Amino acid sequence: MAQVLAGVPRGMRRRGLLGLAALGGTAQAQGAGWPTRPIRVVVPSPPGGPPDLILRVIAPRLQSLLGQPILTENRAGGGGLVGTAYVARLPADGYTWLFTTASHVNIPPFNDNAGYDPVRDFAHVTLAAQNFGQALVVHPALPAQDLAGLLALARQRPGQLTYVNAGNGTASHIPAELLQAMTGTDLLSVPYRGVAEGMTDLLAGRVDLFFVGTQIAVQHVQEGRLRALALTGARRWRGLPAVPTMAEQGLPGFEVVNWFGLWLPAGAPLGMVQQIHAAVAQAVEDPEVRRQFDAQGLEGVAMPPGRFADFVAAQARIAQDIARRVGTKPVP
Amino acid sequence: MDAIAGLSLGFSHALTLTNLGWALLGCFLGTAVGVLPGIGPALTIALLLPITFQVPATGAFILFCGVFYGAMYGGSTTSILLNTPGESGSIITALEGAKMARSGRAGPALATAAIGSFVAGTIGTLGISFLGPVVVDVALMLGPAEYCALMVLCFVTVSAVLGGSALRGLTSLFLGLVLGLVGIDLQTGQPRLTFGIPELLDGVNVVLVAVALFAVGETLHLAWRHVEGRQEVRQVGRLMLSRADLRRSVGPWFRGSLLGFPFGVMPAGGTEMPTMLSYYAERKLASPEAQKEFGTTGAIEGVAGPEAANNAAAAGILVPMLTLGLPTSATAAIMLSAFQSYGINPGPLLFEQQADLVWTLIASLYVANLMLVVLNLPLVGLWARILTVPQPQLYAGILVFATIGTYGISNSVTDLVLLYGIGLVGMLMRRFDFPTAPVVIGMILGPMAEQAMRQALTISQGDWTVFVTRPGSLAILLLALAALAGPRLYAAWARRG
Repeated sequence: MAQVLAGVPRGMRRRGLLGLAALGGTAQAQGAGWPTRPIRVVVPSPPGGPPDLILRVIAPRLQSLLGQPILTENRAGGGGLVGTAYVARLPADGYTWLFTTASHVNIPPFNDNAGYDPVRDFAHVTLAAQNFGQALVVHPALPAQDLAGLLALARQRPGQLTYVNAGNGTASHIPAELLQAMTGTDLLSVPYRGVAEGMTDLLAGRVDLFFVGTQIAVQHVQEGRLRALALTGARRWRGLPAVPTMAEQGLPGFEVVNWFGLWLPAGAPLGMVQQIHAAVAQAVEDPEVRRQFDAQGLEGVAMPPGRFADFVAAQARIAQDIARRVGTKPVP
Repeated sequence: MDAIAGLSLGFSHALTLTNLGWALLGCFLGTAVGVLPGIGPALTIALLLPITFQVPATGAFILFCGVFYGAMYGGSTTSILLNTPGESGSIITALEGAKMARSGRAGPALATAAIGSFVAGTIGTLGISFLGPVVVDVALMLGPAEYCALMVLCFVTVSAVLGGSALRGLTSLFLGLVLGLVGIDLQTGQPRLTFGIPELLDGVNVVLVAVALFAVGETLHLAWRHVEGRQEVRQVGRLMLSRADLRRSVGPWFRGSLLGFPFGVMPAGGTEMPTMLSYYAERKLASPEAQKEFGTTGAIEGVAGPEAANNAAAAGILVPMLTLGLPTSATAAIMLSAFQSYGINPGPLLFEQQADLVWTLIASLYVANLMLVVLNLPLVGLWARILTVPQPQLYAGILVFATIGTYGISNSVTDLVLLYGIGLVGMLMRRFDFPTAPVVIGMILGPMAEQAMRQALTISQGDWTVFVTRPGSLAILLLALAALAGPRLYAAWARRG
C-alpha cells in the first residue's frame, strides 16, 4: 500500500489515507498476522525521563489493544542520537518502535555525525502527547514585567542578557534561539549540564532568563522567587493562568511545545502504521491515561500519520535554520 | 509546622505495619541493587514507578527512600571486596577498602563502612529535618566561580594519592584530564575526541574507568605476572571492629558526615568531591603509624571517612529536591517524576502543601537507616567469606562481575571495548608503577572545573577577576593555597627553629 501511494501528492494522500483507514486498514493488517510476538519500544533516553514515563502510562492500554506485550528498552546516549540511530538501522517489521521527544528533530542539526535522518529514515506514526510549552522565567530583580519589557532590555544591552542553555537542541535552547531570530535581539547563552544547575543560578540571580518546564517553574513563580513572562505554547496553561503566551504578546506564530512521538523504521507497511495510530488514539482517551497526563502537565494528541509526517518535516526545517544561525555566531 | 511536630506526625505514619513493610522491602531491594553491578537506585526506582498508579503516595515514597538508602549501604561492598566500585561516590572507598580486604581485614572494612553509613545517614537525615531550608539558601549563594574554586581545592587532594614519584603521579592525572575531555564541549556544542562514535558524545563514564583501572587492570596484571604453583587462600580474619579500629573510625565517621552533607545540598556538589576531601583530610590527620598503612595494607580511616562523606552527601541530595524541586542526581530526578505522577510539584511550597507526606518520608528515612544497619552488619561475615575463594576463580569472577556491570550501565558494546582497552592500560600502569587513582580524580574534577570556570567567565563577560572579587570564591582559593603551601612552610619553619 505504501508503494502504491508513494507517487500521490501529499494532500491527496492524506485524504486518501483517511478513506482507506475507514475501509478496513485494521482488517488488512490483521490479514498479515501482525503482531504475533512481543513488541519492543526503544526509548533513547534514561529510564524515568519524560518519554519513558509517558510510554509507561500508555503501554498497558496499547498492550491490551494490540494483544501483545510491549517492552520498553532504554538506550540512552548522545542526547538521543544513539538509540534513534539504532532503530533507524533495524528492519521495519513492526516489532521495534521508537518513542522519543522533539529532540528527534532538534538534536541532529547540531551534530555532524547524527547517524540518522529524522525525516527520511522513519515511518511517522503519531504524535502521542505534548506539553503546554516552556515558561519564560526571569529573576525578579530583572526590571522586565512582560515580554516587551524584556525585549527593550535586550536591545539596550545587546549580548549581555544571559539565558540558561541546558544543551544545544534541548527545550531550553530552541525557544531562546527562536526568540532571538524573530526579534533580532542578541542574548548570551550560558551552557549548563542540566536543568537543576541552571535553575540554581537563575534563582540566585546569576543568570537572567530561562525557558524551563512549567512543572519546575510553577511553585517558584507562586512564591515570587521567579517571574514568569510568557509561555511558549499556543494556549495558556491552567497551572499559570495569568501568564500570557508569546503569541499574545506580539509574536504571532511563536509556538514551541515539547512533544512525544512514535516512529517505526522507514518502509513499515501503511496498514501497520494506521493500526498503531488507532491504538494510540484510543489509549490517550482512556480516563486513567488522561488523569496521568493531566498530573504531568501534558495533553494527549494522537496526530494522524500523514499530518505527523508533515509536522516532523516542518519541525526539522526549523531546527536546521536555528542550527545554521547558531553556527555563524562567534563563540564567547 | 515546626520540625519536632512534623517529625512526630511523620513517625506516627511511618510506624504503621504497612509502611514498615514498604520500608523493609525498599531496604532489601536497595541493598541488593547496591551490591549488584550496573543496576543503581535510579534504574530500580524507575522500574518501580508504575506502582505509583496503584499504591498511595506515602507507601511509594517510603519504598523509594528505602531503595535509595539501601543502595548507599550496598554500594561500598563491591568496592571493598572486589575493588569494583558501583558508583562514583564509592570510588575513593575502594582505594583503602580493597587494600584492607587484600590484607585480611575485609570484615573491619565492611563493618566500618556499614556503621559509617549509619552515622552519616543519621546526620544527613537530621540535616534534612532541621537545617534543610536554611542550608539550601546558603547553597544557592554558591555560583560557578565558587564551584571552580572548590575544584581547585579538590585538586590539592591529588597529592594524597600521587605515590612515590610526582612525575608518574602527574602523568596519571593528565591521562585522567584527557579522558575527561571526551564528549560534547558544552560551550560550543562541538564533539571532542569522540572519533565519530556517537556513544562517546556523553563522555566516558567515570565508574567504567575506575572499574577498568582498579579491577580489570589488576586482574590482567595478575594473570600476566602470576607464577604458577603458589596458591594461597586468604584469611578472613576477624569480622568485627576491634577496640582500636573503633577508636580510629569514630573521628572519620563524624568528619566525613559533616563534610559530605553540605556538598550533597549544593546543587552542583555531588558525592565525589567530599569523598576526595575526606580522604585527604584523614590521610593528613592520621597518626604516624596509621599513615604507614595508607596505600600499603589499607588504613581504616580511609574507608570510614570517605564512606561516611559519600552517604551524607547522598542524603543531602534530597534537600534541594524537597525544598526547591531541583533534582541534582539521577535518583532525585526519578523521585521528582514520581511526585509529578501523583500530581505533586515539589518546590518551596511542598513542606506546607504536603506536610503529611514530607514528614512521613523523612521519618521513614530514620527507620530505613536503622533497618539497614541491622540488616547489613550480619551480612559482613557472609560477604567477607567471598575472599576465601581461590585466587584464579576469584579474579575470574571479578572480571565477569565487572563486565556485566559495565554492560548494565547503558547496554553498550562500546563500553565493553573501553573497559578492556582501559583495563589493558591499567595493567601496564601497574606493571610500570604508575598510580591509577589520579586518573580517576582527574577525570572527575577536570570536566567539572572546566565547566564551572567557563560558566563563571561567560556570566562575568570574560572578566577574570570574578574569582577573587567574590568573597566565597576568594576564601576557598585561599584555603586551597593554605592546604598546598601550609605543610611545606610549616616544615621549613620547623627546620629553622
